[in-house]
Amino acid sequence: MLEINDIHKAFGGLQALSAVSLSVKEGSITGLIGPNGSGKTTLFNVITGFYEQDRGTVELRGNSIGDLPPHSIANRGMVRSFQIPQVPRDMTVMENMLVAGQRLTGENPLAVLLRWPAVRRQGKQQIERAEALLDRVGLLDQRDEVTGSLSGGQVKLLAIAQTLMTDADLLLLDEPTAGVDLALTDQIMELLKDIHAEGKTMMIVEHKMRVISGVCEYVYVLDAGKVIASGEPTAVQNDPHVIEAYLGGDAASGSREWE
Amino acid sequence: MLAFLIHFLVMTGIFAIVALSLNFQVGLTGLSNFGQAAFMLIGAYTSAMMYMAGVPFVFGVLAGMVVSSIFALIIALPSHNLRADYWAIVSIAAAESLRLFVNNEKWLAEGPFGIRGIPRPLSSLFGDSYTLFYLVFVVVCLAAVYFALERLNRSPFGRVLRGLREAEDLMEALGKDVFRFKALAMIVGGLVAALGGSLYAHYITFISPETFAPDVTFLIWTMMIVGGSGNAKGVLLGALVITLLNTSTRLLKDYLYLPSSLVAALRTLSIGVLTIGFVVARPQGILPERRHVVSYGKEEGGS
Amino acid sequence: MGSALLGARCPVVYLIPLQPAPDLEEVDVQITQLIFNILTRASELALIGISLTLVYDLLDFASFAQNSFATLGAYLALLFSVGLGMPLILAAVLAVIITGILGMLTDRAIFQWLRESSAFIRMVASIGLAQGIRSMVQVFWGGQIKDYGLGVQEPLTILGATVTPIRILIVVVAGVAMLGFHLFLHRTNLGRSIRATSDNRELAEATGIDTERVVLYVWFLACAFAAIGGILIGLETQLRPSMGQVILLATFCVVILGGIGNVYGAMVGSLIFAAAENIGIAINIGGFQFPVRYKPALAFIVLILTLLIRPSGVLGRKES
Repeated sequence: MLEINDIHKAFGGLQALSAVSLSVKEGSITGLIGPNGSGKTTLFNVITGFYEQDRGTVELRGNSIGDLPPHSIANRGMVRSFQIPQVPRDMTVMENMLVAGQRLTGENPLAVLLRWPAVRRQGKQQIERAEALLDRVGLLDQRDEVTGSLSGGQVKLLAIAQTLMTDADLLLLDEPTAGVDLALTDQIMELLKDIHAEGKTMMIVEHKMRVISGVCEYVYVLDAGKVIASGEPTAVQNDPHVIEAYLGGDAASGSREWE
Repeated sequence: MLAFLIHFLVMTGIFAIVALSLNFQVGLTGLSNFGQAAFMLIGAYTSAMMYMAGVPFVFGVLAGMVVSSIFALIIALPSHNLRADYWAIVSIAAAESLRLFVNNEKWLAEGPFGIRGIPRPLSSLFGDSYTLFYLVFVVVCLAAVYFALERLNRSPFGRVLRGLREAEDLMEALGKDVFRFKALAMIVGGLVAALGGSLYAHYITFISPETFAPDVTFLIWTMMIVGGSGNAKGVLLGALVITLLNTSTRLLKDYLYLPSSLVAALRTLSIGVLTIGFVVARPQGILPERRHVVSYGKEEGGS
Repeated sequence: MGSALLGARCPVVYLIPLQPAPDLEEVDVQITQLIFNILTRASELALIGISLTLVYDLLDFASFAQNSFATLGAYLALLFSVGLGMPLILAAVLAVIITGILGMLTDRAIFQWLRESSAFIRMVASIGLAQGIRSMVQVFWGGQIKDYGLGVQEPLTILGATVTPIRILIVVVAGVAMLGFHLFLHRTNLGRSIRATSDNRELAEATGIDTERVVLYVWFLACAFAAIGGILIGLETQLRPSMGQVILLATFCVVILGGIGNVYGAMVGSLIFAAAENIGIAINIGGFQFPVRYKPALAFIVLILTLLIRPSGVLGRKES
């Protein structure tokens, strides 16, 4: 479904990504792991159009998307979340969900002012969908609260729910469990498995091995901008290169990431 | 006394319309547009010149809106991913360049001398009570603008704009063409400001490039900051308060026999002090922005 | 063309297009005149540009008030010289110092409360401040044009360029001020602290620099520089309450062109900008000439071009 070939990206003198190639099969959950600073988020940014690669191609369902702006890519069915969620703090949870709806007639000011019936109709539909999704992630009670009053974990849940609100069938999630406590991590892992079971394709950036091995079918390992290993989680976990990459720097932080 | 009250209300109404337009661009979308005076100028000059050339009033106003939409695009195009302070500088520069152009090109609109004796629409019909009629007219326009902008605010369109304010990347990632939305916000705000300019021109019956100096833009900003950016009712309140301040200092001149240049300076001084005061002590304004509760009865289109 | 009246031929090249086939002597005269005009204009702009850059760099916002501080400085010098009878030099020095102190006071009164606010809010506050200062000048001194009472100056001819002593003074003062500033930044402890705070505020704090104090000193410097700039402008032309604000766009242009975050950028930017102004207006290509009355719009064009081509400016740091 998603083919990434030979991506190179440099910032100033720093080579963030070199010769990165990977592919995401339709209907799979693929993981992307690596120590901090290995270029995972940079790769995400390249794939989703926020950065432009120096070299290489990105193809979605066979079509090249390498030079498209992020919103075009999102409208082709690939949506991402952010490692540090961007939340409009003054908007309510419900509004955050509603804004994720794609290609709404109500986004056309003329349609709104002239009261085209589609606006009202879609509005009702979107509210129902949003409420169902919020219920699913356990945020329905916070529906009318501003996101500024949510906890960090709740914000993470909201971000995932937002991606589900879109029409996208390929979700790129950047560290969906970052900074989240153990119980919530488990909850999110269950949620991801459910989403997968419903047929969505996912690529997840994580640096907690536990999440990856619990959820992903196939994993790519990035270190210093290069793919150093790929395969099933158990195989990758035991790959000596991967172990070295994680523990090579600082033993303490490396092993913590290894949880 | 009544005449003064009516005049005061008309001016408040006109400024309120422009302030609402600025609120749409700044309070809602977060674009730091400092060129609002230019949109007023476009609306004023276009409708004045067209009306004086025999075009029906409404078409002249609409033409002003069209021209201001083009100008809005001109500002938005090079600026769309600039930071707030650059936006401010570019928009002031664009506005001042336009004003300079109108001032220098005498063939266009009499240059620095401006246009005098702009006829008031339907003046023959109302004779002495014309200002009262105009007040009703302005209030109707204000109401239309207020409800239209509120509807847009509550719609998916408005949601994207408010999302843009703080989470632009998120909006892109969710499939919104951020440039298109920013441009639309500028256009909507621009054409409402043009309407305000047209209403001004046909009421005061005299306009010149001087009329639309950056001071006017700063005045509107103060109305928005004092009243509450992001809150339409607040902005109306701000327009009322500031126009009150503006017109009452005129009374001061008559009662205290102060020279008018001094009074003008004091007025600007008080506006500046008020701006600083609110920015430091209460940046959200008198009426802060309120959250939007969306439910079945209230979904987009409803109130 | 050689025997044209002095007024028609010089002093300001930009009133007249370059002749199609000038003889060598005329070209020399024109070039040195051009250079001198550029230097003069750049001098005036650079000082306020440095003022802008200092505030931008250390306080992270675009201050619309620096131009008004320039106006204030010019008028204070007027007060002390024409009003109180002091010699102009003394009056100028006093005005510069007082404006600097006033800058520190505005930080204490206004901007210290906005440290946690967004840069945008600080900018809006500075706009209010600019309005306030300008109108105070108008309240106290009125709106009529004033000047330092130096009388009409006899122009000299140096290297073919016609200059007045005042304009020489302007270039010299600006040059000395900038040189002094450079030395200050690199040879004094305070200068080093300023540079450290500008580079990385947290790091500077960690190494024991009292950044709040540094901020105060920067305000002093910024407003003092602005005052010098204002006085120089007042010397060359006249004083009116709007004198600072009419060059608002030009000074912002200078800073953005040169690169925000780098005081040398302001100097470079003002040279480039002054050159563009003077040359752009003097050039006559196939009959097309940039109209003089649109000189202020040149700032807008340069600004847009800079933002489109190289937003970080000539010397600026590239934002990631």
